[in-house]
Amino acid sequence: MMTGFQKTIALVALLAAPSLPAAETKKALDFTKLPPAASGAVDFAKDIQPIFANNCFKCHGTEKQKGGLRLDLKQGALEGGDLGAVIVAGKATESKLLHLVAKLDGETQMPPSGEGRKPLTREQIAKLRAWIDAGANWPDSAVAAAKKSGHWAFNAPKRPAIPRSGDTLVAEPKSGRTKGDKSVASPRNPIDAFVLARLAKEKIKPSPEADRYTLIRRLSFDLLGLPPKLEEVHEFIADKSPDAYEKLVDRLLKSPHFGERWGRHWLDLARYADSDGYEKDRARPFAYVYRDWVIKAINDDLPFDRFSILQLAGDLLPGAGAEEKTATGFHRQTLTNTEGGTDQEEFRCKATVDRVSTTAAVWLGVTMQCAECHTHKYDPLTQREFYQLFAFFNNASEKNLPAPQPDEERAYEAAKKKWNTENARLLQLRDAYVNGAAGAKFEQWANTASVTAVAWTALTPEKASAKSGSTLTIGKDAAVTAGGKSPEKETYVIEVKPGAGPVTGFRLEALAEGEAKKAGKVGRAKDGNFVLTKFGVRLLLPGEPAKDIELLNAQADFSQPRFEVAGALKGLDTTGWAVAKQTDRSHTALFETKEPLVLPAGARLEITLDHQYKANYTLAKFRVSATSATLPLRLDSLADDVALALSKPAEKRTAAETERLKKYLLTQVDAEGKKLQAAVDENAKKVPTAPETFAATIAEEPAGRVTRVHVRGNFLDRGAEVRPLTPAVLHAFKPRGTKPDRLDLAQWLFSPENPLTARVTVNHVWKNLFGRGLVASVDDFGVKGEKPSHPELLRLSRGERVVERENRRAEHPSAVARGHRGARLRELGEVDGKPRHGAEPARPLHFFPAHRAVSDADDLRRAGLERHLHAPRAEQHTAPGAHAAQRPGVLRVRAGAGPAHGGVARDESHGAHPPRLRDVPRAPAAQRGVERAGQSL
Amino acid sequence: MNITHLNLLKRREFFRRAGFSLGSMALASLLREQTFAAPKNPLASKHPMFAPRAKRVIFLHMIGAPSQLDLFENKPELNKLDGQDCPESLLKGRRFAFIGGKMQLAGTKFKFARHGRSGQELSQLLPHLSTVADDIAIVKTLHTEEINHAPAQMFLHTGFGRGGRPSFGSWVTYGLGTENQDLPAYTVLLSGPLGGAGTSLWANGFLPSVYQGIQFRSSGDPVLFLSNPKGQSQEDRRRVFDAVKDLNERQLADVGDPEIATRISQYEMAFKMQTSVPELMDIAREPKSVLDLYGAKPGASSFANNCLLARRLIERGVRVVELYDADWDHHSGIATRLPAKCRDVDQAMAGLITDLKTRGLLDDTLVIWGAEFGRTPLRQGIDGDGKSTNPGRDHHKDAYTMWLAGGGIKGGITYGRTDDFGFSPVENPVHVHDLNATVLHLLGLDHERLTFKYQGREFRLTDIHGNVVKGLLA
Repeated sequence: MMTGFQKTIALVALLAAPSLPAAETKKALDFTKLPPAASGAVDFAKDIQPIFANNCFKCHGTEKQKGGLRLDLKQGALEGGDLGAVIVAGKATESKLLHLVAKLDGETQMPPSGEGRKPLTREQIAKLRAWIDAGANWPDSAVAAAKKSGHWAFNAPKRPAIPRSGDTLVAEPKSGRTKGDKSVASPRNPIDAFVLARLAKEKIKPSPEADRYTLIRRLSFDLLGLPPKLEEVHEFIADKSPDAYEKLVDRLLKSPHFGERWGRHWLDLARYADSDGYEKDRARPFAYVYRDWVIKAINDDLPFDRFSILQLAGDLLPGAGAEEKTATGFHRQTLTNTEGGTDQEEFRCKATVDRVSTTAAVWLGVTMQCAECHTHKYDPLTQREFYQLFAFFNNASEKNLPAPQPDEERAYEAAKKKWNTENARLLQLRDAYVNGAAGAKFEQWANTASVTAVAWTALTPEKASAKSGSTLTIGKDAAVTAGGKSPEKETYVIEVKPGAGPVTGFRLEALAEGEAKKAGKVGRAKDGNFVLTKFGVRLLLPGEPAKDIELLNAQADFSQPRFEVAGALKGLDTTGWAVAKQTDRSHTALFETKEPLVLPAGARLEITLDHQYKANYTLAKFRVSATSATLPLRLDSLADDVALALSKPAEKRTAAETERLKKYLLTQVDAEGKKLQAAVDENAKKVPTAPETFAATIAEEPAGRVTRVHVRGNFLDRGAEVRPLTPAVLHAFKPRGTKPDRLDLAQWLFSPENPLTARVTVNHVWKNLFGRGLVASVDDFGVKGEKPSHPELLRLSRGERVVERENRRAEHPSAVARGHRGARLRELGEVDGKPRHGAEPARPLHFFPAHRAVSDADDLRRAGLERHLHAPRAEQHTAPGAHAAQRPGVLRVRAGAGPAHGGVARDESHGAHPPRLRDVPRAPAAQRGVERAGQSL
Repeated sequence: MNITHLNLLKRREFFRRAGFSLGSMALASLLREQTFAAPKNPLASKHPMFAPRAKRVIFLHMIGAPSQLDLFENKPELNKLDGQDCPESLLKGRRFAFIGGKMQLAGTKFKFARHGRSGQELSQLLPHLSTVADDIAIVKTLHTEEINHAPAQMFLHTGFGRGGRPSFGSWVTYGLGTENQDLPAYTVLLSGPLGGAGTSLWANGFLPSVYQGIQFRSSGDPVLFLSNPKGQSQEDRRRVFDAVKDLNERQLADVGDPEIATRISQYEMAFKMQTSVPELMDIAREPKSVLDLYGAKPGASSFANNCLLARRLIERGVRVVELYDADWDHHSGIATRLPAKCRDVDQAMAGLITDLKTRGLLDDTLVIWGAEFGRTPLRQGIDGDGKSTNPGRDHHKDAYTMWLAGGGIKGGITYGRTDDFGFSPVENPVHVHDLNATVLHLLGLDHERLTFKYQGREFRLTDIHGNVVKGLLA
């Protein structure tokens, strides 16, 4: 029978249960329908590929990848679709492909009927069966029936022919031009040639070359994000040499501000912020360690491939040190959720998803994030492939490595040295006093003090128990700690075996250092108090009934009014010894025996501490000691070892005891000595702490996680298992070993066959120089992204690879700026500072410059700040009440950090809008990152 | 943008040729708003998508989440089992912000009674609201996705648990503009400190910043720096404004950035607010009977004063008014803290309904009362032995109560039902997205068509969710 309550619960449970999808009913497969395998050898290119091409490619090929499956590529076909493998090599009957083409479940058939499609013939199925049984051999030499993709971005670019002669167009002479400037009408590099050719086609005359004031201003903003100083302007104008411009570019590229300016661009891609994001949005005080790594890397002209590989997988490089590991901070810019009630696995998965999406956006310019929940709707990227990329990052764990900055270390070393000197000085002063003044003072004190000193011996319990369920733990220091259940009333009983005696008294210490929850309080009650209603001692002798030992003359260092220590001998429920208002420190009580207690051999004492008051007023931690000192006993505050030493006649003390007494006297009793000791103690509090600065990095977990497709993006719904692999539509993945890792992924990105990374990177540089990329959707080179406005320039970027020293470092911004003369190019494309459109209005020939530098410069001017390298960070102007509310309302520069530098050191939050831009629609860093275009849900 | 650009040029040319100063034009337009209201004014009153039931909205937000189980949800079964351990089966799959381990059911100490002709059931803590029981629709099955204050507040206001998206008030003013160009279209009043999500609750997100909410302080200068600096006359001020406006208009004509248009209209509004705001905030002019109705006291800073100000704002054509009242987060001490909070708001909110009704404003003014989530049927504040001297309730996102009244709302009804413990809806669940869809619907806006393109995607207040709750409509 259910009770009413049970019924209600059952009802509610039923109603509250989420509706489960009807259990997946698996139709039985009828294998009799499967034709036998064809006899004879089956050739993939001749027999199998045509079957796929004619029947399957339409939905599982270049254009569409239904169910995340494509059968035109070896990798796609053999890896399978979003739901798992379709071809099990060597096992045709287990291959879903055959189940479907032969309609074994009597229901689902591939290809599906309609649009003139026909089911496969028995002969075709027989061939497929034979091919799979024979190991599904798909020779790499088998040429794909079609290109992997018809989309321009997924195919390697060809270098365009450079137009010849823009000489027919001559700039109109401009008055006031600085003497010595060359005509801009003749191309100085391939880019100029393209621009001039296009202008000619549009019948637009190139604008005259800007004057030198304008040139240096533009270049300074573009490369440093700062206006030029007056003397720099004068210097440039006065430089009559023909390569004055080139010299200026070189000088600016050498400026440390170049790394700040271009680091800022990179940090935007890295979704850099100084806070955690989500509700708490806690500060990340040491985020700047990664930020400064970026700035330094750019100033050091680190080649772009190395720059990238370090950030993606620096930890996996052979002999990776602090430098390499710090770089992996790129993938620590993900959000961290520390709000209440969160499932950390959920947010680990979210961070990993972010790592996949950001890597794909930054280096490949593809909207991989669309495939988190489903196969991409437009681009040939499947959900399975998303999780194959996920598998590269799934094994990463977040590690914070100590990363003291050189200036911090220097400061710490200096402070420590200073402290050590001071400490040595104070110790020396004290010891000199102790040793020097030891004579007369000590003798006199020891004689007096020994009269009253009581030597206590702590009694380590042999047994300890509590009657009402508390747990008692006996510590090495003979103390007993109560824990676990905290009942209303409780009786502690301990059994001890003191020495031969005679015992003249007991001491009870109520210690204010109990269990963690009530740490620092003497009692377990809510207010930290206890009420000891009875302290009782019984003598236990083998074979005899226990005998009560009478106690009297209770004393305590402190008792609360109406709860005097004498009450602890009465055994009433209504009173006892308690210490309200002083529950945060230890207390001591003494009880004398009526007569000295001589203990026969084998005797034990049972000591009872009763708490019969109410409401958990029990002791948290206590210790019982015994003494044989002459009565009456006195309460004193002497340490036990001091008291013991004092209780001995002077001649019987060991040298160590004498030394201890001497020190005790001269540092704790004697006024002058106390002062010297206090100075030592005070200084000890000021010991400098080592810098806490850490670098947020990622590292590989030794025990790898298994990666599965998250069905519909739900981290709790795990589907088919996948291994680390790159998308089939792109170039081949060639890992170093059998267990591909992040380093393989990073190196794959920089394979010369990669059609995307170089173009995507160059496009970022264009965007940063001209305010708009050649492909306007900088993070989406996919089918739904913008078409390149100047395809030949983009191809050129790839074709030329902007070669400086070797191919790979080409993509580095400085190389581009140096090779392409970005600022000058703009001057060619620009006409009178007005937008100029070609035949297609939506495709401006001219780009607006980026505004951020101007905003930064303006900031500097307003705040009166100088840009300053490697300032840790500055908390910025935050509108009061901006989320998170705990953010400070004013610009605050960390003490001693020196002036902050605008633009870079300004604190960015993952959760809050950048305050200065609060009235401009602009997302918090977390949502900004890469400008996400064409997102679909 | 090109079209805006052209229009602005034309307008500028018009002014120039007409030989007026911009200042005198602006003054003229003060007098004849309809005739001269610039078509580009992003806050100009716009036609709704279909016939609206409400023209304006007042949202009373109780920061921290009041306990629906002590105010609206009478659960005899829960009361009967007060203090008993909660069976695991009821807790499975649920998330709580703070409580955990063994949990105990918590009934209420307060009495419930039925009120009005409709017989709506309300707790003894709401004696004044009980008098308007027939005017309000009580929705008992609200639920949300977030279990902590800041994210849940953002979710309720913006349809998203993190910052960066526009508040519902911004969406409404984006969709409808406002009827009074002298006052902000979306006004915010606070009693007590800000909610955890701070000012992002009335931020415009990616919408043009002209649609962000403007906070009026309820004591001191209502708007900071509204008065002229010492020694500056109103004429001087006007001349400065005109000069700045001229510069802004030039820049706008050159680059066509809509944020500049926003800036121009904000300057104009600030100028006009110098006269409109002091008049508005002066509640001492209200008759004593009205002050008493709300329990308002001129000069004080209170929810009651804010309710009265809300009426004065909507009376003047302000589109959205939001009141925030703090300190409803009763993790402990619910027995004493909740009655105290109810005393702060009960009379004022009932007074607001009554006053709007008397003035005939309730018919086309939508009033919403509620919070970011509700509180658990479980007790919080228990020590190691299951004892607690002063318990409260934790956050509960799966089912909670809000009420709505006025413009297009069917009064005197209770919508939705939860299980015997108030854990989950069992009938007519209303997601926060559904609520927002319904609010927009009542204002004549289709939540699926009120969109804004940002970073390549059309965004909505209701994301890709939300259904209008037909059962609430009159």
